[in-house]
Amino acid sequence: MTRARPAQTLLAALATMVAAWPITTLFVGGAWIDGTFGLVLLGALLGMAGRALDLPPMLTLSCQLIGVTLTVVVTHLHDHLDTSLPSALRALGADAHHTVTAYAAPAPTSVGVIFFIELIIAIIAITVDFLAVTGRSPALAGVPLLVEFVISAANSGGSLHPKYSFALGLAWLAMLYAASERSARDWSGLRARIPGRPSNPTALLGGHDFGPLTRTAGVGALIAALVIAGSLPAASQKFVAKGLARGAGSGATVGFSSDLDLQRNLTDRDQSPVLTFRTADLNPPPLRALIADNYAGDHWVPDRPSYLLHGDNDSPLQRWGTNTAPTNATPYTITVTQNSMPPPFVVAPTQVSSADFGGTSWSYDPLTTQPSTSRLQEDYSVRYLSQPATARPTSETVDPANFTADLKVDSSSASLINALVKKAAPSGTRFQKVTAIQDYFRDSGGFTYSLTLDATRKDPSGRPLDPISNFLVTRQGYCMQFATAMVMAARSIGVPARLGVGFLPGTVGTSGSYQVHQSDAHAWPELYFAGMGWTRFEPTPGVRTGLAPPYASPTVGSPESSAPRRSVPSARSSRPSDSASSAPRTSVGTTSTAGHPQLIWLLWVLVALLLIAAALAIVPLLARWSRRRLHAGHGAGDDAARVQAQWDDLVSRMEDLGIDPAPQVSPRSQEEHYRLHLVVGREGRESLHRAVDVLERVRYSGRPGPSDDLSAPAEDLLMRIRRGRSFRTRVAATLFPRSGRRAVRSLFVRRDRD
Amino acid sequence: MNHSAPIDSLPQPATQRSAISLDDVRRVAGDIQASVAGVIEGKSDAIATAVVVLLAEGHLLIEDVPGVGKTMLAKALARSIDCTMRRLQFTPDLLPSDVTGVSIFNQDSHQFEFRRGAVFAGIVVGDEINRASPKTQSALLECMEENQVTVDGQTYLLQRPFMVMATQNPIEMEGTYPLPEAQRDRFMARISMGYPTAAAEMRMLDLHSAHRPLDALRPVADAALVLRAIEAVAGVYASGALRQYIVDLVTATRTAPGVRLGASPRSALQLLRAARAQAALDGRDHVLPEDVQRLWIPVLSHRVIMGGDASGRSASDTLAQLLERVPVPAHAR
Repeated sequence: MTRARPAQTLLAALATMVAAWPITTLFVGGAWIDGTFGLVLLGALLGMAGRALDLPPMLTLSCQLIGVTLTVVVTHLHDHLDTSLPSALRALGADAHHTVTAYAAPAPTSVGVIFFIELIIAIIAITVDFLAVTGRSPALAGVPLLVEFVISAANSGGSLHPKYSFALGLAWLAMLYAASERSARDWSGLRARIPGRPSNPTALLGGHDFGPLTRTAGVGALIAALVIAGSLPAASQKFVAKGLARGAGSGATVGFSSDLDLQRNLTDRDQSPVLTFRTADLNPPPLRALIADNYAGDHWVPDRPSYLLHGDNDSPLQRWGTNTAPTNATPYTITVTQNSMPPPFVVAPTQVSSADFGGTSWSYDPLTTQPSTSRLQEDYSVRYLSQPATARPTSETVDPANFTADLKVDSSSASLINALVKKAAPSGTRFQKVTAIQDYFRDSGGFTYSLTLDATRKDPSGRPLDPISNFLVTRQGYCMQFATAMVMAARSIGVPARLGVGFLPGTVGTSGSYQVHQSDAHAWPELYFAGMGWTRFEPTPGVRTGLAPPYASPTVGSPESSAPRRSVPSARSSRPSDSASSAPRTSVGTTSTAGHPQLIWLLWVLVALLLIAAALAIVPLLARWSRRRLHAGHGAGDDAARVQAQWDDLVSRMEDLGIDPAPQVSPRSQEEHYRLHLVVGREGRESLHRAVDVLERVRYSGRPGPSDDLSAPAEDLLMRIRRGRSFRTRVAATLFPRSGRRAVRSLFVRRDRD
Repeated sequence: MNHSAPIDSLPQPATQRSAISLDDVRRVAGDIQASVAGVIEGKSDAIATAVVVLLAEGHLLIEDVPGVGKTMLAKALARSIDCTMRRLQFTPDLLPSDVTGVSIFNQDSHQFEFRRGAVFAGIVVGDEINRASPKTQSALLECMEENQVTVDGQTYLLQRPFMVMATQNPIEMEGTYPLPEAQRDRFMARISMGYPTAAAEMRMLDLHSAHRPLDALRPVADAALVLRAIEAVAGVYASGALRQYIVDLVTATRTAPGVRLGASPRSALQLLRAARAQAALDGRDHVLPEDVQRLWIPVLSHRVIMGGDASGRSASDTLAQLLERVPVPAHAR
């Protein structure tokens, strides 16, 4: 048991869990904690077992890795243990990737996140165990612990509370102490032999007593862990997960940059909600803050309201010009309870019909019905119109004269846009065409939602492509690119289109209210159709935005309409298949293989680990079988070798039954040894004596003959021994023979000289 | 015949005589042991080793404090065998010629004639061999090795069986000349008597106070029988595995920590011969590792010289450790 070093193992596992503690600040809820704890414990137990069996370190490590990886895979993917495993893994990877890139900390704990957190921490735990316990270098084990800690430290919004670093320092020091105390104890034999010498081992060796120095250093390290961690400013960190970590400043200010680039907002890790609201609408629309219809070649210029009418609480808003109300719509209300949008911005769904801003004076643009306030109003309610799935335009034509700005096509990307329209919507009405275009962006066109844009490509003449063309070529972007491209596509077929900018409805909390964060920032196209008014479309893929608006869904009742909603974390975590079914949509076409090479690599590792595990299970038996065969081959011509092989076989089979031989003594001494350790009765002892007698005669009398054979007494003896052993021992001797294990071990260490 | 005896006039080994069976060897050896044990109380191990050395045609060094029966053992063994026995009390003024013999001029025959020294006997008991001068010591030791004496160009063969039993005192005293390593190596085994147990000492007082037991000792074997037993012993089989074991053991002494001088190849040879005798003593026709182990310390302990860094460990301790450590091979390599 001392070889297994349980105390040090548990300390190493504890240190890993302590280093994982700050991860609780990164994700909502602790759904990953139980699983992680179990896996870390499993890794520790496997490590102890490996050490107790005195396996070579690399074999122990492999066993730990295989056991833990298999457990993670079986726990999370037990429904996919067939050919669908790669795709399920990919889906998990995409889910985790989406979560860490799209959400500010604390992000929801999606299945993918849980899977990878568990796997990563378990592997770190095994690394720590390997370094600190198997490899006896606890100081070095600080490196993986630090890596684990940095994952949290780099990704949390502010600076981590010093308690995390303090606890980790403490755990690490405890690990160091346990290991050095053990190695100090190893010197005690020396101490015992030389009486009258100082009891301190280092002093005994003529060295100095480092005890006080190390104690001071340890306490100093702990104080530093507290003081430095507490006093460092929360610098902008850039590490590991791009989305979570790409700091764009913290604080609760909400701003849209002049070029309306939402990337900064999207990657914001600010945890404080911009907005909290409630609504009875089961599928609340995005909340708009701005409208833009002027695309300046590479960015949008936000519209300034041309008219501002004073708003009266709860009285219907006036609509001017092209801002017509939908003919077929249901009114809903959202009630904002916490608003931190700086004035004059106020977010509200499109198609506001009336609003109540309490005592704050507010105004609205009759051309867009976008309200604005002069000062921050924390709670307000807005009534808006929501169009059902059956809503369709009353007329396909509009008067272009009324929409000059909203029909202006971006010239540099026109050719690619036209080609896209031709491909995505070759025929049909304009409404059918834009729906098809939306579907093309969301699904069939092979576009990938990504916060990082691909490198800018060049056109045949060598000039860099404009942003829209580049997006159409690389098929990778976030809402801004999708919305802009769809606006241009709609305009190219004569549908007036503009850009709406605001927020997705955010996440539903336990109380049923929605929380909107900076990272929920979103942009979408608004298209004008007679009878529908300015209508929101959703070209950004469902992994980010959830469902398309009902009227713009390709066919009502299609699989897509039953797809899960994106923004309900509780639904996600309770239905593991959600992410698996929605994720592959983002990775169709070009991305299905090239997009996740690391997952394919992981799969290969997994397959290799499985193969190794299978090999391990078969090898002991195989090794034993081959050894016996070797002996049999030996004994073919030589009586002495044959009897010797019979004896070796007897010894190793007794060893399998838990009776160790004395190390290389004479036959008679071996008999003495066995007599001491065997309870086989008089007949068994006689069999043993007969066997030893044959061996001795053959080995030393120089007259071995064919009649010399100890297999009969050996079988008799083994039968008697087996009768006295426990069922477990007998099963272990059959399935996992000790001699076979030793044979495997010798493969890993070095061959015994024989 | 009073002139110098040429080689062919001396008793020759009876090669033509048939060797006796191993059972007979065991019986003869048992008789001798019993006979000696009647004189020396409670020292069966020492007696057995002495008989082994006799049957292996070796020489015995008995090292112990005075008065524990060293000389008694030697004498009892000699008397148990009906063969000539000479005793040499080694003193600093003992001359080599006293050991080997000398040619003196015979006035009557006007010829030099050879007077045989003390070594011309079946069993030679050399008392306190470390008191003699090195020159005298080496004269004896040459006879032991060569089984012959050369004086004035004439070579005289010694009797067979020929066994020297030398005693020496371990306590350093004035006027002693300790045997050099090379000469100690000539003795097959070294034993020490040790003090008898209280019971054995009590019995000794009971039996030996009234009469001298040595006087009552009657021979149980004669020289010819012993010689045949010796020849039978030489035929005991030692397998390859066993010879390998001896080589492994002897080699291990040369690398053991604290050892200044390891065992010589001669010691391997003598160990094997002794082991053969031991096997024969047990009535076995082949040697077992146990025989080697039994004789390992008596045969080796006076040949292994411990160095200065042995930190007080004796050669016997080191040898015992080697016996534990060196594996018994299953076959010759």
